Amino acid sequence: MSALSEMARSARRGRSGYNYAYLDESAKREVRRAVLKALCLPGHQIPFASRDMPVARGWGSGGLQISLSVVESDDRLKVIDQGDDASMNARALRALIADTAEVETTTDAREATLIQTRHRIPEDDLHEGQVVVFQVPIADPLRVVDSRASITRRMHAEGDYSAIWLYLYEDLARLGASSFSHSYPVEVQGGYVMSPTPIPRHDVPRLDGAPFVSLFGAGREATIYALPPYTRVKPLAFDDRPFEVESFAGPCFRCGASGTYLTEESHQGEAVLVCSDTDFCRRRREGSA
Amino acid sequence: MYSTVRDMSGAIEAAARLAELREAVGVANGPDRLIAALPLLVDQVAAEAGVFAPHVCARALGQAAGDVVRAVSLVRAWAATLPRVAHTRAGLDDMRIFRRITPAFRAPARGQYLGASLDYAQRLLDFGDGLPVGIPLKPSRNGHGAAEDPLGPESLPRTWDDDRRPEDAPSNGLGAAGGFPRAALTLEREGLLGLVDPPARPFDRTRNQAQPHGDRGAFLQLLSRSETGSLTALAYSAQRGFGQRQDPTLIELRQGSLPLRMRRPDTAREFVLGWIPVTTAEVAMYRMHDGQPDARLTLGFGATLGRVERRAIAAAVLDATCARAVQQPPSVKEPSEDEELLTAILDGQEASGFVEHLKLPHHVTFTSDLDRLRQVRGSNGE
Repeated sequence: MSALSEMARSARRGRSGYNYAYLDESAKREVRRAVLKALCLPGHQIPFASRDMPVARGWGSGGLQISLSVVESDDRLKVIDQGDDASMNARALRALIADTAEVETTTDAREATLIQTRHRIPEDDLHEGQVVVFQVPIADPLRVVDSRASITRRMHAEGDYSAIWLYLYEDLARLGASSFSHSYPVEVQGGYVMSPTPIPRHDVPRLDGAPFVSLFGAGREATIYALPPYTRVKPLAFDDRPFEVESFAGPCFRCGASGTYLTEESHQGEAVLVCSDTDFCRRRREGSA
Repeated sequence: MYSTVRDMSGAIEAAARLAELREAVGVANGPDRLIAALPLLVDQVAAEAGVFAPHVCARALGQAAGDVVRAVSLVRAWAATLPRVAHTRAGLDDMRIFRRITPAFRAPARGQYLGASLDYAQRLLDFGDGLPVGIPLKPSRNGHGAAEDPLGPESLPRTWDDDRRPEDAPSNGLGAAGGFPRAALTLEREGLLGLVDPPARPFDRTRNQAQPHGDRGAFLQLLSRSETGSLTALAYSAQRGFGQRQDPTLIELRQGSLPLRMRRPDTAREFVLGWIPVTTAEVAMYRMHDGQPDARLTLGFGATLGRVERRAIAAAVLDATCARAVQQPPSVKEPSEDEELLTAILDGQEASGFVEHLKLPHHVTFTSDLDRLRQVRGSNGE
């Protein structure tokens, strides 16, 4: 795009004195190109020129760039951190997207069309047409076996995943269990090994064959990757040592749900377990889940 | 309790209002005052942001209550929304020089030119301004003292380089910057410098993703925008002996104004768009390998916006250590020789952002960690 047309475009400014959806149009176009490439090569890490955003690097700047590049004015937006809509950073990110892209927001995952998330997938069964944008701190699942991108890029290119399989094996031999807690590495459609971001293992099987689009944005690491709908996603595991999700002692203290992801909080001095997806929990208590 | 730091009732606004009390101090001082009173701090923000706009940088410092990292963040995010209208190349030979020293040579061609520098001034805290040594403090709400502005709003302090104007610099009559030929030229003519191959090409990391290593142009840009403290620490680690045995010598340090020349799109006539303050350093590295001296010196180059000289020197040291490591890879790379490591850690925004993101809630992932820990302890029969 020529500089002049861009200047003309930026003259048509949105509500907060910034361009519509904050980013300039050429930045959005670049992010969209990376997203399209990523969808064509599920699980493959696509570099992009990550812009400096009005949030700190490492605080969701990658997810934010994707959300601002794909958002449309008729979207309904949900932003969560740890499953919680009211978490401080989630609220700040939601306000930025909603203000500059002039979209409605919701806390109900079922009616959101665009969901930006850190560390969780909402408990509701999401459906076709929904886009989930994940904030990614460390894009490369092979970082644990080699910190140099020059090496791990070659491993990905050659499909050489022996190092991470060996890592898994050594865990089992030494510890009796895999030491991967969150960010459990997955194989995508029989091809690339991918980090599903720091979602807990509880959420990993929910990516397999999921009807929604998953877009992963790492702003600090300037990387985007994606899962198109109905992609096969398999956690790396040996046949005789199956993948395990987190186990919890008891249902949610608040809503009584079992099978949801729980975190601990204090209730009258006692530690209790409650759903990390706060809106799902609220709706269950109100009988509208 | 931390896990309930949620924003149900305007906590973000309340926290920001508290912080604004501090911001107000910076804003009240105004960009002009900050530029005049703290020129090197404004320069540091400009350099780490990679954006030369002193009034914007000063405003950002005020808004960030003096937090350099946050000020840089504000400036970069602001600049990222501006269209890139054009680009131009600035030749270092075009630089109008305010200061030029050559520690490697006693009497270089055209001599040393000390310029404005605090380097040799004694570091004695000055109480001679008539102000009481213990400034009376009014306790503020949070218990910290806030001094009355001793100077009053009218008195803009004159700075140590107020009179510097590009046109005051020595004229550029000899085809070299300010008439000063590069000190390294004599070494080059004698064949004592290792050739940099391929030469660095301009690269813009803010619009393109660089390869993890091996693109010197991209690396030099990264060094020019690196966080000042990190840059200094890593360069120091090389000097301190973490790396191959080596002996860096500062060949030349230059500080001056660089004109940005452009051509009008209609008439193709060249004009000067403006001047930017720049500091450059060239460092030569002499090393022993297996007891054998190198036949040549490795030359490292560092440049930074503004006048924080240690930035340019440290960048030049790291450029040299990495360039040397490529030509003759050490068996074990130390941090200062590892371009890929330096590329990953030197940007202040990336480093501070990720370190501080630990303040965000992590109870979901921590729950998952604990689950693994309990599982492993269980399966080991503990």
